[in-house]
Amino acid sequence: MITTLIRYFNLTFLTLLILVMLSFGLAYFFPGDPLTNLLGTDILPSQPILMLTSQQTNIFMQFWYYVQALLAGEWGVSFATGKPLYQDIMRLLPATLELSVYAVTVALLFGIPLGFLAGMNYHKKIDNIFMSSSMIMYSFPVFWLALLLILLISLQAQWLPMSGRLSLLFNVPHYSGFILVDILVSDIENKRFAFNNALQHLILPTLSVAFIAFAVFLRTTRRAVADVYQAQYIKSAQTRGLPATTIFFRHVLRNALLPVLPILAVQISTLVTNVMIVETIFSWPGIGDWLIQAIYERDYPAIRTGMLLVSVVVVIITMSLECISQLIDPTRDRFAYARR
Amino acid sequence: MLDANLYEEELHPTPLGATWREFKQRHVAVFGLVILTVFIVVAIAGPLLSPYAPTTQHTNALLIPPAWNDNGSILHILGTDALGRDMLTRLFYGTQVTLFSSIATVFIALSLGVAMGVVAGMSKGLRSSFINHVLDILMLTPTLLIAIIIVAILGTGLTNAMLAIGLALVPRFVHMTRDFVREEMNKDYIKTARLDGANLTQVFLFNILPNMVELLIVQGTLAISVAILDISALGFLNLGAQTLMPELGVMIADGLSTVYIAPWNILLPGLSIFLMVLSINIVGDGLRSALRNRLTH
Repeated sequence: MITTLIRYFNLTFLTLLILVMLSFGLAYFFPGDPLTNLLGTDILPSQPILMLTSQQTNIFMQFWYYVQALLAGEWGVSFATGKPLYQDIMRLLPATLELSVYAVTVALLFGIPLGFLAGMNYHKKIDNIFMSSSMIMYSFPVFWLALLLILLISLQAQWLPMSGRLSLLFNVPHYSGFILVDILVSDIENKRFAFNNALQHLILPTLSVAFIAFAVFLRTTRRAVADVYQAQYIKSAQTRGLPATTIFFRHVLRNALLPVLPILAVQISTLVTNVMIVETIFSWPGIGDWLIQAIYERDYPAIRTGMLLVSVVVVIITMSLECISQLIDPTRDRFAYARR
Repeated sequence: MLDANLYEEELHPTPLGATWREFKQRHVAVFGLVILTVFIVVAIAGPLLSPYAPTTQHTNALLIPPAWNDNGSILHILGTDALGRDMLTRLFYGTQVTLFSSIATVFIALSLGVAMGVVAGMSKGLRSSFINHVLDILMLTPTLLIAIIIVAILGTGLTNAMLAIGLALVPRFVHMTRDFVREEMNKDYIKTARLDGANLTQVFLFNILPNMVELLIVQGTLAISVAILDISALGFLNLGAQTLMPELGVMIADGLSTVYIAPWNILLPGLSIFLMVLSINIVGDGLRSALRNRLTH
């Protein structure tokens, strides 16, 4: 176990180091002056360590101070707004995380039970229905799906709002950045209405992202359940005369859930891409919307920092999930990452 | 003179024949293949089928609905967009751009991925470790981020979008090839070949590659569907193909401004992407299970 932990810690550290180097290199690859790309402006008195970076002539010393500035939260300022990037990103990142977390939760909540249902009726009618519909579901282009939902549910039926996180009528003070948490801890009037309103804003974006993830989880779970039911130990349990429920809870459930976690880890980067696309369509004030805006405005410091931060979050989440699934199931002799 | 044993001979289909026999057992897969063939034919022959050019603006026929609508016109079967460009023609050209750019992307990513995967699979130690670390970062970074970085450095355009998506696809081919090569290298027939004096290049070209072709075809097919989704998404976000090019994602983005009065401008291109991806997924899935099951019958 210790070896696994050290191994994954090591891997994560190396990956993060390469990412930081990449983001440092990006300032040189982007058009324009590297130092301006790094800082955002020429002079930046509010960010002393990042200023030190720009005064170095040796590239290794530059990198050394760049890492320190990153750790100190001095990430430069945006070309477009002139505001420090650290504040911007810390305000936007929770919104993206919130959307992703809800989407994954919804996808898992529906995908796994239905996957079990399909796997237990392997190659029967219900399984075929689930398989064909999941095939249809993951063939949807996510941006088209989001547009369709807006067209049908927001514009035609007028059931749900089509953009933003919360109606402008409510003024919720910023606390954690997660809108539902913010509303719950705040002491504004009409708390319940605000909460309902935020939920209504959440439904469509969450659905668009969860739709595709759901299909993937359904298929994985179904495959795993079908495999487990064909294993010898299930046959022997049946021969011993154990009731179906005992077999299910004691043998099938745990073994079939094992492959779900690695798949979740693999899906994270696809999921983040989808979240970012959906954010732009629903004007969700998250990091994806902001990054795509930054590219239209050629806001290089914003792109560099945003890219670094999103990939760091993705790497850390993926690596922890991989590590946990390795700890839960040590027989899984598959190091999907950096296998020697 | 006839062979006396003619009727006692068993029919032994070739591997390809066995796959096809298994594949056509599944009617859905055949149906998917038919749709895919239609798309490919349209993509190749589209310019010949349509009387218009994709950029011709019929200024007296703006936003005409499809022909089955009361206000539709038979001159423009699927209607026109806000600039009076014929929808059907643009769909033909759009299919061409999107489908062929995806196929090209996957083909390049596949060649590159297999080459790197073989090196990673046959080498040990530091070199293998280095390749793997770099690839993991590519694999872990969301496709859209890679695309944003490449667009920021090189500017927008279909080629740059293809480059970004190709980069994002390479790791999956590398992983697949590496795992396959590792597994095969331990098998007896490779050891025999090695004892016969074949070097690693020869082992790969004459022993491993022929066994890997089917795997590559299945994975490549499924990767094309991913590439179509990503290329059209980048086109939609205005990071890939630019407005003048009739790419399906770009067409959806163009249709957004008139979505209230002309919803078919976003419905039809989206439907084409959806059907294209769906048929490729169905064919890929059918191919995979046909390859898996063909030896059991």
